[in-house]
Amino acid sequence: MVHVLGKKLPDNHLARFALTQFYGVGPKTAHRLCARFQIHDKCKVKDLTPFQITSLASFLSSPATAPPIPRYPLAPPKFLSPAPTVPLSELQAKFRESQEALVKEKAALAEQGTPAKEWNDPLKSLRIESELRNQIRENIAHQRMIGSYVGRRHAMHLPVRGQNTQTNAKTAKKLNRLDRF
Amino acid sequence: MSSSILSAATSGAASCSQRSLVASRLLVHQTRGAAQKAPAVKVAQSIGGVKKGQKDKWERKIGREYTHRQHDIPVFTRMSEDKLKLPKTDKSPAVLPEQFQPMSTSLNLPLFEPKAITRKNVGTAAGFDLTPTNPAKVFGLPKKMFLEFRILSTPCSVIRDVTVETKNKLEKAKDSSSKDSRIVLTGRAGCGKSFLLHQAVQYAKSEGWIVLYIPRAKTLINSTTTYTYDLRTQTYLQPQASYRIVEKLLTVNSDALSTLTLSAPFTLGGDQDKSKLQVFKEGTKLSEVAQACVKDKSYQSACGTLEVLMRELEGQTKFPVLMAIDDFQSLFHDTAYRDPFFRPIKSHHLSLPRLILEYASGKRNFAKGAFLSALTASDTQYAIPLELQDTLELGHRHPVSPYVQRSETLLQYASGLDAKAGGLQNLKVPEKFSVEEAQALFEVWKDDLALTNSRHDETFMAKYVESDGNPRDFVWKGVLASYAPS
Repeated sequence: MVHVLGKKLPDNHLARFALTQFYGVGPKTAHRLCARFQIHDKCKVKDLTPFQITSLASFLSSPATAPPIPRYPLAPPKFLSPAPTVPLSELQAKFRESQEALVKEKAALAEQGTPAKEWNDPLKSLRIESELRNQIRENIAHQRMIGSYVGRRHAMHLPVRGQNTQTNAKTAKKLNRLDRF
Repeated sequence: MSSSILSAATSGAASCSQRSLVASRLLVHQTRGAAQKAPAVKVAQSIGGVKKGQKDKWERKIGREYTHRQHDIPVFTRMSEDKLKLPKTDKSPAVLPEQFQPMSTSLNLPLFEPKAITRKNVGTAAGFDLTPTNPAKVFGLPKKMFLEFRILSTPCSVIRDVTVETKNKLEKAKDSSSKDSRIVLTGRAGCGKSFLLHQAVQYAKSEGWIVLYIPRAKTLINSTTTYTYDLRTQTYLQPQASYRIVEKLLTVNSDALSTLTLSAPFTLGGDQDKSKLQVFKEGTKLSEVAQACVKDKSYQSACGTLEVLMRELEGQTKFPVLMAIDDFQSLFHDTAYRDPFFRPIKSHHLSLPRLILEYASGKRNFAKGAFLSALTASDTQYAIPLELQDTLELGHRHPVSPYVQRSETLLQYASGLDAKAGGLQNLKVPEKFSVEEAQALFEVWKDDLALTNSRHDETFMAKYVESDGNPRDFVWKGVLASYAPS
């Protein structure tokens, strides 16, 4: 049994599916999360490595402040890998150097006024659970505060976007209110 | 007695009608008694699979049944205990009657042996041997073939013209580098490419080759096993899949691997914990190295071990090596694995597909041996890509737009990374069975009681024509579809 941020992830669920338990994580986001931590499609929760679980937990606790993903090099067809006698630490040091050089290069480009295009990480703006609920509540409160039609309709527990109200509108009557959560 | 009742019933008089009704009732009653008297042989009732404490309960039930039987028509006899066992526990599982047990009816086919693959024997069916270390049992089979063998009482295949041709090619390849024999079996869906590949594997195994057979290459790229990035090889390693390949390679070729030795020292678990390192000196048997890897259930050492095993197999000249890959076209697709940026990982950036592609492209070669692969034409998810269609000159089913992009890298892999070695050779598998070949197959299914109604020549010709001689259609849509409940 694995608990991540207070959510119980059942052992026999696929990891990709179990992640959708978080409010704000759907199948697509769960797939992205799995890709980020190299969790394959058929991986069950019980098969997750401790490293994967801790990194998942630390990422989900604050996605916005997660460290950027390193861009590891990929072997071209004629690549010859270094001999096994070369220690991995040496290779890592070399990679770190190249990363630093890249950072400098980017800084230089930015100074020239032509900043390099940054990859926009969609997971960076991920909000889950109470954070997402707060956001939704704030949005509704904002609408009400500025006195907009949307805000008023929310306050009246009625549909917001011009739907019929003579019949139906059940979901709106149930959910549309100023403090939804 | 019945004739008197009949006469009474047919008299037609109104006054007689009541009497006849009584009589007919009597008839029923009396015939009941007659029917019951006939099978009055009482067999001692055994209490099959009954828990000890419930014996007398059962006896009471049977006693009730016995008294009940004297008044009622159905004559119930219990199945004897040796015929049926209830699946009470794991220790005494259900036992099928003998005639339903696998391998109970064997087809008496000749064995598929190298010496049997001759021009003379074209059009005869031959069964595969079923020892537990047979490559088919260890590496598995392509799905369609697996399903067919599950129905057949003896796994077998028909020796075709192209089988003999392939055998000759492998015989030549035995003494030359695998660079010279990198073959792709092509042909329309269901024409027998996978069967031919499997025949080649069986041939090579019984000729003493070292065999690495991957019947479903799709499983290497469909995101079903673990993957991790490795800075040394700059690819994504597949520890779990590598472990399975090492395990299977060892099981099938344990004899050959135990005669080969390491040419350079090797450290198992290279980049892992220093406490878990295991050093093998030069001259250690390859089987020992593989066994050590199989023992490590964390899969961490599998990728390194597979790499070393392949390097050693490349260098040695004692045994020819056959690498046989089914579903080969799937390796020319984007994989279902995703990198941290959510881009699909290219198959040449995954360790195992890359290993296969390197042998296919001639970048790596066995000193003696061959690379043999088959395309799967019926897979719509992993269709044959343009790069392969172009280099193998397969032709296109529909005209291709000139604006469709080809991947440079995949073209390189298809047409050979080594310019001298050239590209993959195309071996076309004939589209149709010859009549003799189809006949052999028909006879196999007929002997296996797959044909329920007619077993005449007309049926054979009808099925042959209906399927246009296509082997898969001949079996699945012809022979096996002939069952019509009457």
